[in-house]
Amino acid sequence: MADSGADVIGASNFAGSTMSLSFTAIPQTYQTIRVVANFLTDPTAAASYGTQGMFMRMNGESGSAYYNAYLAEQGGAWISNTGTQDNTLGTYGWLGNIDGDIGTVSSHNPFIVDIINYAADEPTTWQGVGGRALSSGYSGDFRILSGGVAQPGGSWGVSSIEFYAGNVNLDSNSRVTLIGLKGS
Amino acid sequence: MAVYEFVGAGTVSGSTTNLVSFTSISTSDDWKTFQLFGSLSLQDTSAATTQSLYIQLNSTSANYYIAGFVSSGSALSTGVWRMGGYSQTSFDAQSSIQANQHWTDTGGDWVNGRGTTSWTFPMAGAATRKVAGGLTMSGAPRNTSAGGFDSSTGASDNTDALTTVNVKCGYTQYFGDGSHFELYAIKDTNA
Repeated sequence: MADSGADVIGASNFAGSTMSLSFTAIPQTYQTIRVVANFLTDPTAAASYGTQGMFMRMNGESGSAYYNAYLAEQGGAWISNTGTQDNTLGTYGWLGNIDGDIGTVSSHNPFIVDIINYAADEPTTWQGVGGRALSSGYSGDFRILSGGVAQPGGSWGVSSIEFYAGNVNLDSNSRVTLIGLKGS
Repeated sequence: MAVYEFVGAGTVSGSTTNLVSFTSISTSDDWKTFQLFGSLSLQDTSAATTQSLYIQLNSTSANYYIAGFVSSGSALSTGVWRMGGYSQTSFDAQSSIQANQHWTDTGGDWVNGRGTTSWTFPMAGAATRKVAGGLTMSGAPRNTSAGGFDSSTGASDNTDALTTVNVKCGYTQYFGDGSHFELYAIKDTNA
């Protein structure tokens, strides 16, 4: 009887409503990490921020080491300006748009992202899908995304991942699960 | 007991191959749906600019049918197009046409890009027509120009239970050092 090919290696919410959530001490014993997340915005700050970004960083790297490519629609149309497909030399991995804290209802923003061969001493790449729904006054959007991060500092292997939002807290009903896909 | 199991993985070294194969896949483990993940770079050996990443199941080289959309990485008004075809020789990650050109295998060099690919083959372990469905994607972010992206679905006429998966790139390219592919299987029962 075979063992499961997948384990949960981390799961958490944004306790107390914060902008950032980090997973540290990620084991280096899997092949791929699948991130399954639903980010729920907290509208109680009432600062009237509109659309915000959802980001991730690896190994605490905050330099211009990230490369992103994505294809997105909003409200039934391709988001058509140059640059929305491509965000080169970024200081973060770009997951996509989420709602800000405008309105009175939490916005649901689900993402599924696969970080492939994350433990290798190679530039790390990922791809996934994401979007936002139950939006308060905005059209929903959807994107497929791909990105990568170089190996600043030489030897590399992703041991920590931070997920964070711009200008909006994420409430404690948010959930992020990291699933490790085994290599044996 | 597991419904999601590891089948195999391969990491390329030496940059002399344009083919990674998973062979002798068991047909007795009740594996039905398969998932393939890849993180790769390509080393170009010519000035060719139209290369793709290909998947062949059971080494069948005819009667694949695909459809999807592709971002070539330029402005969306001109850079997104749809594809659809028939009687191809493989499942085809079309974003690579633009994104893979002139990739190198230098590990941290993003000038020429590095890509991901993932494929889901529902029920390929059963005696059914082969389908690439749901989330078949290939992405290639770069740091010198916009990266490419595609998402597609497809089918082939082969109806044998899956025993071989071939991942190929163009004949004028090799997979770069460190290119990595892994294959998983999902059962359709808990037994």
